[in-house]
Amino acid sequence: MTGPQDFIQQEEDFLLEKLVMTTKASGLIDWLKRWGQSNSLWTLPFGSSCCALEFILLGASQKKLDDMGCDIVRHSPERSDLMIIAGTITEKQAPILKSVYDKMLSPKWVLAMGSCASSGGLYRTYSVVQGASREVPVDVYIPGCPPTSDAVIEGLKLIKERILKGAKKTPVIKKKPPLNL
Amino acid sequence: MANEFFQKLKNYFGNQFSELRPHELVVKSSLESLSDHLKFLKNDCQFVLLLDICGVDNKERDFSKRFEVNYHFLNLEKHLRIRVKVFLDETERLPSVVSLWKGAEWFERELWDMFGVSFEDGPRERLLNHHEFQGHPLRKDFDIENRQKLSTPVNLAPESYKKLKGPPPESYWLNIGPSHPITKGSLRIMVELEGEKIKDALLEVGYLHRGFEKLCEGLKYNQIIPHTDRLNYCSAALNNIGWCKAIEDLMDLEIPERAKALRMVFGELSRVVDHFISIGSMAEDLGAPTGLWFFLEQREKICRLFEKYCGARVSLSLTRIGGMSQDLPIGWANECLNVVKSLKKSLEDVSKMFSQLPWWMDKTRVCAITAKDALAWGFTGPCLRACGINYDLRKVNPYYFYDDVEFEIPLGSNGDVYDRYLVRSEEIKQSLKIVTQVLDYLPPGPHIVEDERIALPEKSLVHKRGEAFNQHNDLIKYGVRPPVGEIYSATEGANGELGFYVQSIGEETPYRVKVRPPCFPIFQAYPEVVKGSSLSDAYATLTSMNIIPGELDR
Ligand code: SF4
Repeated sequence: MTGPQDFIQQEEDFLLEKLVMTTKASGLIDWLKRWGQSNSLWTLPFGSSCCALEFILLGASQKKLDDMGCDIVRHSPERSDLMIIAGTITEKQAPILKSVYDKMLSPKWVLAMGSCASSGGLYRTYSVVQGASREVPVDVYIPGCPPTSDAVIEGLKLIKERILKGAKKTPVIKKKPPLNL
Repeated sequence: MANEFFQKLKNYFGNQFSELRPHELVVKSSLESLSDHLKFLKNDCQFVLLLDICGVDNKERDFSKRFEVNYHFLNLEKHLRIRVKVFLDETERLPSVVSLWKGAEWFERELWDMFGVSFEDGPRERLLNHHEFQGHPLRKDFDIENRQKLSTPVNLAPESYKKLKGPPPESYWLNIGPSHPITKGSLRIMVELEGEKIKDALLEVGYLHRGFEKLCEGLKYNQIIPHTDRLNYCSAALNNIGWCKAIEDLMDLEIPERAKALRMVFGELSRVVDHFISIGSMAEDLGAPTGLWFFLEQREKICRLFEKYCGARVSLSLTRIGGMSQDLPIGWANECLNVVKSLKKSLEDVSKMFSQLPWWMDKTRVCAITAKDALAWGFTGPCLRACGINYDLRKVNPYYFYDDVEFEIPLGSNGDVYDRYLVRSEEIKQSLKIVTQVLDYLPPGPHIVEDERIALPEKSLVHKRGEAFNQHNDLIKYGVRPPVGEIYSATEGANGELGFYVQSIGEETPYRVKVRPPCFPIFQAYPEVVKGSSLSDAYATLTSMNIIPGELDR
């Protein structure tokens, strides 16, 4: 068990290392910025169905979201950094998802929770968008139908890691044009 | 008495009338006489509750007319369901029944949306698909992968909403949803406010329309079970049971006693979970978020029981056609009884926390609906019982062992939010009572029928015996095959009557599946219920009605 004390100690060591290693001040500032971003993720749940229910449960589960720095759930896009798409996105819903994403201020990240948001899931039908990545750029996908709270925590860790490393965002998947044979 | 009633129907309809199963009557009507027939059924035979309107496309069968429309009605007194069938061509128009049953409006819009059936009194708007959608998805010649992008979001706002110049208007429009913390899913309400008061409300559904019914036409009967989980995702087990019971009734299959008992246990536990979520979110929306956490904690206990039984917490899929997926693990029953005991204890806190508190009563004695209106809209379940109508399928048509266990049906009298809350919280107690009684006398025996055409053979045998191996292969490949026929089978869901209408043509996949979602007619009445109340009352009403978009939009 590491207490908060150890954690701070570790972070400081790491910081020191960076300080010694980096030659440019801008590099350090950049790193500091990313470190800050990754530790204060305010989330915007875009819940549409069953996965949203499991997402609410995350708050009630014994795992602490506070540890991750993302316990603050905002229901307004302007004030949040991380959108969690929990649930099926239908064609009727898609323009709304897009407009909510556009309202968020940069830098912003997107987490697709559940197989519906990742790929359309069970529903390969006329009304379901085959994955939220066809509408907005998604950073991390969490599999499961619905994913357990452990999986969501794991996904949040992954996204923090990506932010800290400054990983590039994946572009929106364009639908492939039909093959002309 | 019943005979007299039947005689009356026989005299009127002649040989077009038949009794398919006990409690399920069928009348074949024609387009010209439909209005008269329906009027007779409503006014003279007390079929006051419209359950469902369901279309079928007969393109793949050689019928003389392309479409078939099935009306389902319920007579509450005699507990009889009647199905009125009418056939029509693409060019013919259907008379509207909105003047007789208010709740028919959305069903008719859905009929137009899904099949392109047009009505005598003018065109209808689309209900579940968006306004730019081309074609009618449930027609047999519609490709299931024909996705169509929506360029501009649905605009619900009336003209006055957009006016920015000029003097401030007396009333203004406020948009709630489709993704909003109170909606618990995606549905959209547009309210017109005058100060604090709600003058009008507009609804838009279909944001979670996933094409369940079209999907079912390409799946085997057992493959549909996981899809039913996602209808009402708060109480998945009840949907599983409803679906399997429909198919078993269609096949005239008697399931083992143990399976019946297990279904009752899991069904009632699911009902408890559903009510927990409903009451919890109601508390949150009224300004007591602790209530939500409290109920979610209680729910967690039951979810852990589910997890132990089938490995899933929410999407359970725990029934199979012919029984249950597996037997109880060792020690499960004891653990369940312990959980029930601890739940009962914490429920006492609930009544202290809410039922007798003045502020809770103040906030919830709003938005009442009378029993007459509720029937006209087609309410069922706790919302209907809160108005004082004693109708519960578990009592009037006891399936499984519901007539052997002791339980009561809680009733309200005012039909307001408080009564809906009380009925739900009282139902939790009754459900827990049922669970204890069933677990005390859990019958021994197999958990699924021992019939090689329906249930998979035991896994250990499959690897040893060629015969079992072949059975296993055949069943996986061809699935369960119910005989040719149709059925409307209803069970008591957490929100009301959950009906499945299935048409089988003797193949491995159903020809048509229609769900009668309990909250579809209930949500339709929402604007009428909230008119004249304040915005916070509207929030409380929405959650007390427990609208679940998954089953609303299917
Ligand atoms: S992934 Fe599964 S649980 Fe999540 S929204 Fe889709 S169907 Fe529901």
